[in-house]
Amino acid sequence: MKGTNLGEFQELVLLTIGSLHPEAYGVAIKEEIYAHTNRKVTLSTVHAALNRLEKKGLVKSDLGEATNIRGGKRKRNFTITAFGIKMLSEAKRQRESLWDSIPDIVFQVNLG
Amino acid sequence: MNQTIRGHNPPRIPRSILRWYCKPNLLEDIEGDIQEDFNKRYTKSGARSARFYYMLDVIRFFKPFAIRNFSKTQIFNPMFKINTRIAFRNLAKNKLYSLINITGLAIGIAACLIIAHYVSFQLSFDRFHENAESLYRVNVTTYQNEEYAGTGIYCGYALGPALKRDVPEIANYSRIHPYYNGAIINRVIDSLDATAFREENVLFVEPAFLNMFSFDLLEGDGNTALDNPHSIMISESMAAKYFGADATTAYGQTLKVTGGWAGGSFNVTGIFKDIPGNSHLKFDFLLPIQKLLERNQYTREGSDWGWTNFMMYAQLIPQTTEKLAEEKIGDLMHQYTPEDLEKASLRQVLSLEPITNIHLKSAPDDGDGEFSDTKNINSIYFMILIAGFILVIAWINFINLSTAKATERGMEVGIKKAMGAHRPQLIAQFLTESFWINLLAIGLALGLSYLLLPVLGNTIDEPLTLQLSSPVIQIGLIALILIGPVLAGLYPAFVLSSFKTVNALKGSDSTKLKHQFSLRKILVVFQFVISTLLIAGTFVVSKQLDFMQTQDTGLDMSQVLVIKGPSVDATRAKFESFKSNISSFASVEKFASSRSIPGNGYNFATSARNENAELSTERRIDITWIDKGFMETYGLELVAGRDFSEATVEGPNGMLISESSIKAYSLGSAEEAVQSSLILGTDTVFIRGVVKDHNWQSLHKEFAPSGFLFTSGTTNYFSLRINTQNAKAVIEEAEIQYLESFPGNPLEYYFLDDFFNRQYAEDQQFGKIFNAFAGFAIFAACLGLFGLASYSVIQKAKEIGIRKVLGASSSHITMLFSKRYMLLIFIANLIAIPIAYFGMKNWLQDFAFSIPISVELFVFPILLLAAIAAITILTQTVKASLANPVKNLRSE
Repeated sequence: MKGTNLGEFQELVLLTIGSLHPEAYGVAIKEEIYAHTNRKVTLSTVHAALNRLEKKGLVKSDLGEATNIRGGKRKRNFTITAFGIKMLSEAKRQRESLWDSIPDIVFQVNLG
Repeated sequence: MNQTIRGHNPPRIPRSILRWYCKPNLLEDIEGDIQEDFNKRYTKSGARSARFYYMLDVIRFFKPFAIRNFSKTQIFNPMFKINTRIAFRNLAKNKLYSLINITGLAIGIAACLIIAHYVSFQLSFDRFHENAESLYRVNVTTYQNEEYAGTGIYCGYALGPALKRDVPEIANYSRIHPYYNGAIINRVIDSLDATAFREENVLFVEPAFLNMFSFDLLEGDGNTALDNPHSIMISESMAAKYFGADATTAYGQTLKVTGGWAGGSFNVTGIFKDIPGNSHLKFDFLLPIQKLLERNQYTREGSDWGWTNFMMYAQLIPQTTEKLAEEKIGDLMHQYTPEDLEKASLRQVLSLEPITNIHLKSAPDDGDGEFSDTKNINSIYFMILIAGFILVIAWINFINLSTAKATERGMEVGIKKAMGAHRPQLIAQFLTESFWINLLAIGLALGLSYLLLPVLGNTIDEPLTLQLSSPVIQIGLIALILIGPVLAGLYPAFVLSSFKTVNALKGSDSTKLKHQFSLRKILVVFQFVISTLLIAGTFVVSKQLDFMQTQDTGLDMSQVLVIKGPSVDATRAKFESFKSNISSFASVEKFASSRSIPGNGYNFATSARNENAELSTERRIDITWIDKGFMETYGLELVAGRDFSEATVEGPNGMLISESSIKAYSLGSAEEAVQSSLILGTDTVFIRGVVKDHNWQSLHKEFAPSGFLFTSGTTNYFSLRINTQNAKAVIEEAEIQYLESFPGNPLEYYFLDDFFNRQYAEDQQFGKIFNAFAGFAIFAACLGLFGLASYSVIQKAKEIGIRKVLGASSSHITMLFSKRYMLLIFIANLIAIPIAYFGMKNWLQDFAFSIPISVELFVFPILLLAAIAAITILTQTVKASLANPVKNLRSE
């Protein structure tokens, strides 16, 4: 499956990168994910995902400015590539078509 | 926002660790991110929390993507090859030392591997079902007057349809009804009956059963196989048993089932693979429940909730959770049987038990284990603990033996250092050595566990073989290969490489050795604390087992032959003729029939109260039906009143109660009790007599209120008290009589004491496993001691020589060298005794009747261990003291 499909977390990171554009780097992504989904992810998880996304060619990165808070280290800002956009919309389309195919009865079961 | 946060200094050590392992091209970004996080946390929750998380982050980033390529660093350079060669030369040079080291480690690792297999087998129960996550058993918890009165697994058959109707979360259900007391099954060939067998593992299930659970079908269609009420499904081995050479054609053949629950001819519509050992449901035959529900017993009014002979299994729809479903089924019983429950002031709550929990985590009060194969999870934790202990003992051996050799290797270290070796290089060398020893040990351990696993499998009656394909085992092995050498080798490597060049070359580093020796002492003491604990454990387990099997139960169980009664065509006349025929046989002293026998549980339980007392004083009483001869056959003592010897068929005959029932129902003295009556359920029954308390069930259980009702004769169990040593002749005679009186019924018999003691099978298993691993641990510890003793003797060869020359006697020298080790063992015992005491106390709490904790329980293990240790040491010290001093002093 490697490289052919987006993992759930990778998709989340990819979306976050988009929403943070152009200031999407490790810490910011982590905090944005927490703000949106209430999921406490660790920095290393985010970095691992970013690393994979970059290898798959879904995002690209360049080094940004250095600040005092980062101990004088530059941040790496990520942006989505055209291929990334394509993958994202494909994932969205798949989900929507699945949503549409769920019969109404399913939504009623847990309500009664 | 960023501007308001000041920069702080991150902790230095984690930062250098990060800089050490991180890929250079990722480092700037990662370090910056971690530090940014650190600074934010610093402002928000303070320095300590920030530092802690900084460290945590550094650890978390130790992932493949961020770790740089180490292959060009020292450990894997060509030195590895050279170090390997040196390691093997050293191993070959000190053969005894290498042997002890490698065997010791191998034993520890083998013990771990074996236990890992055992544990992973126990944890794998019922996980092989595809739907394992959505399958549940329905449990019934009962409260009486709002007081907890037990959790059970049995319910009425109406519960199934009710669940399906009222709870949309339940996708599928299957009621399961065991074939209580077993079925008689035979093959029908050309409408003639072949040999019949009694089969215990027969279940009635719904057609949905095979869709819910994943049992492999060899033939037949799981969707339809049980649709026809005259179908039967059998296991592979049963196909072989009944159809022999024709097993492949068993499908479609006919089996006749008789006795008890279902009668008639059944078509084999499916053959399934034998049920795997890790399934809590164990069966050889499946019959459609439809057939069972046709029985009179289940068509009568009130039987739908009244006969609680069924177990319920349910599969939930994937969209729901256990909790949601549980909320809905909780008070279902009160919707359907409100009056019955109210009358008895009962409250029943239904709950769901995941089937993956059944084996280890559930303990229903009415499940006697027969149908649910339960085991205590604590015994699993205990095994893991023992495995850990043994491994630690093995590693300690390794550390001790390696540091003991320090002086010898000192010269080598000194020369290397003088030639310009860095300390990390030396550490790498010793770690390489440790790596190879561990690897060899693991190889040996694999061989050992390959040989020993089937032995353990025999003990626990499960097929266990070495399975290297299991991911748990693979991860374990890789962890052992990577961590073992470091854990065991690091300390010796640091000690050995720390020698000062000059001192090492001079051969004088006495100050250092003293210091190491005290650590070695602590480790030896630790090993022997563990050994003492294990021996004491073994001892107390075997004592308690012994006690349970020899303790006076109040029932005379020796020389009682029990014959299981016939299931087919058992008429009164046949029973009477069998009884008179068998009783006339000279070796048969007494004969009794009863509906249950000791060790087999009671016939039924009901609530009872004193006739003069409130409804709310009701307490459970267990009842068994016995006949005239029962008390005499079993030597049951009567305390007051009369027994059943002059009871009549017409009755009323009242009941006999046990002594503990008198207290439970406040009946006064035994004599007063005989004047009064009990209300059993709704019937008032007078008390005919009081019998002495006796252990009808295993000694795990307390005496509980119990009683006997009279039956003039029953065909469930026949008990024969025999007065001959030649039991074989009696059995032969009994078989002739039995087959004559009850044709078509296979004879099944056992001696009651054996049968009763089968209740302790699990305790015995525990005892055996405990024994085996205690043996492992002691052997490993003694190997270490042996190595240390032999080493110190070699080192002190000269000292011994000089002492002898100056006139010391052999015994004096032996004493001198043994003393210090014996002292260590003495200290170990002092530490172990209190721990052992609490352990024993804890374990014995599980038994209602247990041995007292006496001094003997401690003295024996201590003496035994001291003796084993003494022999180990003496073999070395005596040899040294007898050696010719000239030999040792002449060299150099």
